[in-house]
Amino acid sequence: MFSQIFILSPRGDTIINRDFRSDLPKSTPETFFRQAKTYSGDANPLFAVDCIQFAHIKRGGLYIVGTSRFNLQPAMSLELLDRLAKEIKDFCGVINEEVLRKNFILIYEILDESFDFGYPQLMATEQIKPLIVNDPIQPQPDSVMNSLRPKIQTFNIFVPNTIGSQAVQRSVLNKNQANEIFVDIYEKLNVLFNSSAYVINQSIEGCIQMTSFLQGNPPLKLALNDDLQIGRQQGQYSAGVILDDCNFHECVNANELDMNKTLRIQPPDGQFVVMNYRISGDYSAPFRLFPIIEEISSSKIEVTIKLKACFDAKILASYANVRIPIPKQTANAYPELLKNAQQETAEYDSNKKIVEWQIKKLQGGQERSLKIKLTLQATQTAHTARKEIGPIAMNFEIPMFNVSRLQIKYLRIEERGNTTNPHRWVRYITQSSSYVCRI
Amino acid sequence: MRPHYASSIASIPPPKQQQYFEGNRKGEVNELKILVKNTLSEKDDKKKREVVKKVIAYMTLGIDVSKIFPEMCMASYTNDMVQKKMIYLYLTTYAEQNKDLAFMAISTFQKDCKHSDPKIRGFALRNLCSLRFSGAIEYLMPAIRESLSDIDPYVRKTAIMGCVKVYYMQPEFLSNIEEQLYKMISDNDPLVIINAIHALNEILAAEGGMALSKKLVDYLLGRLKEFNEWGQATILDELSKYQPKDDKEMFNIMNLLEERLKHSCSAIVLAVIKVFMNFTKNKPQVYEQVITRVKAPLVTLASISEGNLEIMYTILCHIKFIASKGYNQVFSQDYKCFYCRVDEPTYIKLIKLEILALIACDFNLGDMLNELGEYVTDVDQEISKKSIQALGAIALRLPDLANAIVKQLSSFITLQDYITNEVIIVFKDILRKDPKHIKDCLEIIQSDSVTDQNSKIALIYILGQFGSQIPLAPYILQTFIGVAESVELKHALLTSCLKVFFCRAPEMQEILGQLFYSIMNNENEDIDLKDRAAFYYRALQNNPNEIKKLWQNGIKVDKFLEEQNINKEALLFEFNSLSVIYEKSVNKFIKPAEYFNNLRNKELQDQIQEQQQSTTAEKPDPVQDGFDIEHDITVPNVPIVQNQPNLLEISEQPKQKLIIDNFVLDYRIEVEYFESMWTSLNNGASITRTLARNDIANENAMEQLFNRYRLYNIAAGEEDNVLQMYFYGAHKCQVFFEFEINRNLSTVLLNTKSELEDYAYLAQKYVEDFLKQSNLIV
Repeated sequence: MFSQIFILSPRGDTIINRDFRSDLPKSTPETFFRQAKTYSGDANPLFAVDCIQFAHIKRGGLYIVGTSRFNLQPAMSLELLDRLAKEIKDFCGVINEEVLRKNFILIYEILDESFDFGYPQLMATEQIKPLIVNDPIQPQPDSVMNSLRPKIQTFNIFVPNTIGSQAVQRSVLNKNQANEIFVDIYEKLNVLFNSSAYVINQSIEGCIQMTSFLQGNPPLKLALNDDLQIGRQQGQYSAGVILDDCNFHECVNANELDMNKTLRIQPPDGQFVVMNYRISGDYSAPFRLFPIIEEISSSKIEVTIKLKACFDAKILASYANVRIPIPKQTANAYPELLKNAQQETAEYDSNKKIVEWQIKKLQGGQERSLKIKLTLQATQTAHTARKEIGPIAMNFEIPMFNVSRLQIKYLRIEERGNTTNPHRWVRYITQSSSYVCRI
Repeated sequence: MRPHYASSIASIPPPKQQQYFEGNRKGEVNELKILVKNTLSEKDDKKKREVVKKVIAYMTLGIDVSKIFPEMCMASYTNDMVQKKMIYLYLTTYAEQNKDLAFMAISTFQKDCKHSDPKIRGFALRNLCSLRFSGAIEYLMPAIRESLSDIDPYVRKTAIMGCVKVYYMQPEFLSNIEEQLYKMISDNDPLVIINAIHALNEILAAEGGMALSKKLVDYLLGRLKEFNEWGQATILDELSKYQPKDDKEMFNIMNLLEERLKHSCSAIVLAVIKVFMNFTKNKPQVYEQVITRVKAPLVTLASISEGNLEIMYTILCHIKFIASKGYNQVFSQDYKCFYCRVDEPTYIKLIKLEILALIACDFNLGDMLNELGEYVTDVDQEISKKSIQALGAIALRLPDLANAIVKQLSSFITLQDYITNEVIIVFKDILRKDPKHIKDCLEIIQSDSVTDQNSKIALIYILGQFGSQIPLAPYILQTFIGVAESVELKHALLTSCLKVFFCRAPEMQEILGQLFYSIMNNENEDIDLKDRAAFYYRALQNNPNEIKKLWQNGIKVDKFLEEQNINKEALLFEFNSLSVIYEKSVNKFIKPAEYFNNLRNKELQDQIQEQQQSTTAEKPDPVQDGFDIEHDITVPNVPIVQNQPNLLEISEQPKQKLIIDNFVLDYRIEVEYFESMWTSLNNGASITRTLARNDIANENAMEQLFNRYRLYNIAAGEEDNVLQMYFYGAHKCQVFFEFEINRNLSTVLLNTKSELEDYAYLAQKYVEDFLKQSNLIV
């Protein structure tokens, strides 16, 4: 159980601070922030300072922190904080500093119902909804867009960057809410190529996520592919969709999955993940990278990278970014695009020694290429420096495309009253998780 | 940052220009107080809401707004739920510091506890129970007892939590509550059940928490799916303490729980695994089956946790824990799942590297060496170092494959300084265990210089140990002599030079001489090192052969640190706890409540001192009280003695007067402690005065009076019109009082004792002053 829960801004200001048990010092937010800053990267989610236990998650740049003097169940404490973050998201629409500052009273209300004396109480959005008296205050529209698209996207893995997902960024408290449900099939690809474009390692991590604004939370029936199979036998070949393993949300009854590939769902309000799955088998990677490195002279190197989009021409990747680390001893680097390049940029960051190649839209079947001319400092020769080039990492998103071929056959609302037929929106999104080519 | 926040709360009128102190928080708070007072009479709820909201905003920022307490109490008589919720949040936060005034608010809470709407009943009760001061108890208990049998589960579950709150304030008020709580486990509402379990675990913590019978276990398991995720995790955690009577029962429970492993909530999956592990810990075969069975769900959770990297980290820690307990081969097939990904934070990559080091085996080593080799050149130095350490750990664990690793590590050595440094340290460990690898390291050791302190020591160790095989050993050692280095390094250098001397005396003699000279003729040298050098020097002068024999018959090492297995049983018990994450046993990072109470008291004390310093110029606020004093308490603005109590200094008769803020708020001691101190201390100060006022000369009023001045009652008794009370408090040191009102003689007697007599005297004056002010004495 938590003693306190507080939320800090990226700079360490306290936005929310709730003390449930009054059994720890009041200075814990400062203690936490000081400790968190001692890590070179992100702080460990769980650490102790002077026998005070800190559990935290980072969402939208904010630190959501729970403290305790007890030996917590680590997964439970982090899941609780994650649940709290989702509640805040459900009520406020999005989670970021501005929204939290504007809605801090509402968040205190949520906290008050979610925890008593540090123990989790009502934590489902639909349970808390009738107890909440404050209305959410929406931030300025343009600032939402800014905060939604952070430059470096490290968190909220399954938040799409480009698709207009305004629809799901709404508060569940919205009175004029349409009766509808959003279903997203997200797949994150993890591919590792060696320098000859041969795949060394690949896997897919996917999930079916729903955001429900259905009135009355009617039970749902979700049908998946007929050729779906869960669990991979050694050396087995099958034409169907094989998931290595999967798990389900509390509201899901998966008893019929093996028999007729359907899931029964008792949907809560707001956002939840119906099912997570992972696939380790082979699949054809949507992008291929072909790097070529040439030593022009002892101080000059030329790197040429070809990128090929190996998917159907009807499909359009909404963006594809490529990052190429170049040697520390580089004096200068000139990235050159093809003459007819459109909606493409390439920039050299001399501090980080990285070339960023950004492609706005890329149609299936197309090929792009980039040439980087490097001049080295006198202290290093091209022969040793070329070892420092790479690995090349890719970031992309392809809407309406999925690699696993996992499909939603239908989504049925089982007990429909006399009201109108609720809208059901289904989207497929494929993103890169770790898409790397080594040199 | 503070002004920025205040300004972000839209539509609040800007503060009036009445600041007493520019930029002083106190000024802002005073303004706010006036603002709240003025808005109280307003009819417009919207306006009121904004003002109350502002108070909460200040509170959140950590600004002490406790001064507005009386106004906020007044404001609590509202019917507007939005305001009420905020005001209650305020009241519960500051009640501790405003005990006397908090009574004002209690009546509102009590009224709301009887409201027809269960939501409001529960809400009021929750807040009433959160008022943290002892005086509230007498109002609290009747409300809790009544609410425990309320018709609405929301109120019942709140009442149970109320019991826990009371338990931490005054446990004696909870007599026989356990029985009722046990009964409530059969409630209809799952949350009531869970709260009852939590409450029993806290109240019965000394006896190991709630008692689990077979009947109770069957009952809870039967209803398991009615609970939410956290409820299930709680019940499963309870279950892990249970021991089934026989195998049949054990397998029944395990079969029942198996499908829970498919849950996407990691808290449930880990809790189930803990149950399985604890059930089967004495049945190695079944235990191993359990580990094999839980592998897939763990790997799934570790690969994808809905983008929840923090959970992923926790799961990885648990995988590492299982792998390090001798079940590493279970995960060997899935090694690719533990490859690092570009978008992962450092903390995940580091734990993955540790797992890879554990699960490496002959069939995956080829792939893994390539992969780890890639990480060595990672831009993140931490990752680079960790991957070198991982390679070293694999070499130590799998001696047959060490050769390939040593060769691979050798290829990194010219890349970067930090890489070379780390590789040398890893080499030292590998060579310590298996000296035959020296052949492959030779070139590296002689070709490169290392920069880091620990790496230098590692290098010196290697040179000493393998001096006979490294041609350049004496000359590399020579480069360290006389250079400003740490004592630790010089100790290593001395040892290594001696070792090389015994096998290559002609080359080493002069170098060793230089070393002795540089150590023994250095005035500032560490005394131990000097001693050691002098000892060897004389021993060598006396009989070099004898000491050579001594050295060469050194202790033979056949057990290595890396091979020692930590006690499996002891750590097993702590699965699904922070022990797994920190890799420490519980007593290393958990302290009892008293420890934190001390921290809190110290914090309060510091805060008071800080306030004192910043406001010495400011007149303190009048303390409201019921003793008809119109004037302020005379609190002289004396700066606090900054130094720690020092007998010498104090013997110079401190002239200062004590003021209320010198005393620690809510200082608490045990009766036994008081008794022992009272009997052991010398008589301090003592006064007798004439009783001037009879109406307040009773136990309750006196306790309140002393309380307000931060002196606390520990015992009281009345006999034949003589009231005797004992108080205590703490400022620089503890003070203890015996206080007696003799109504027959109309006298007031006060005895004061303290470890430092002068402080007893000062405290005596302090009490006398406030007794005078309350007109109890003249």
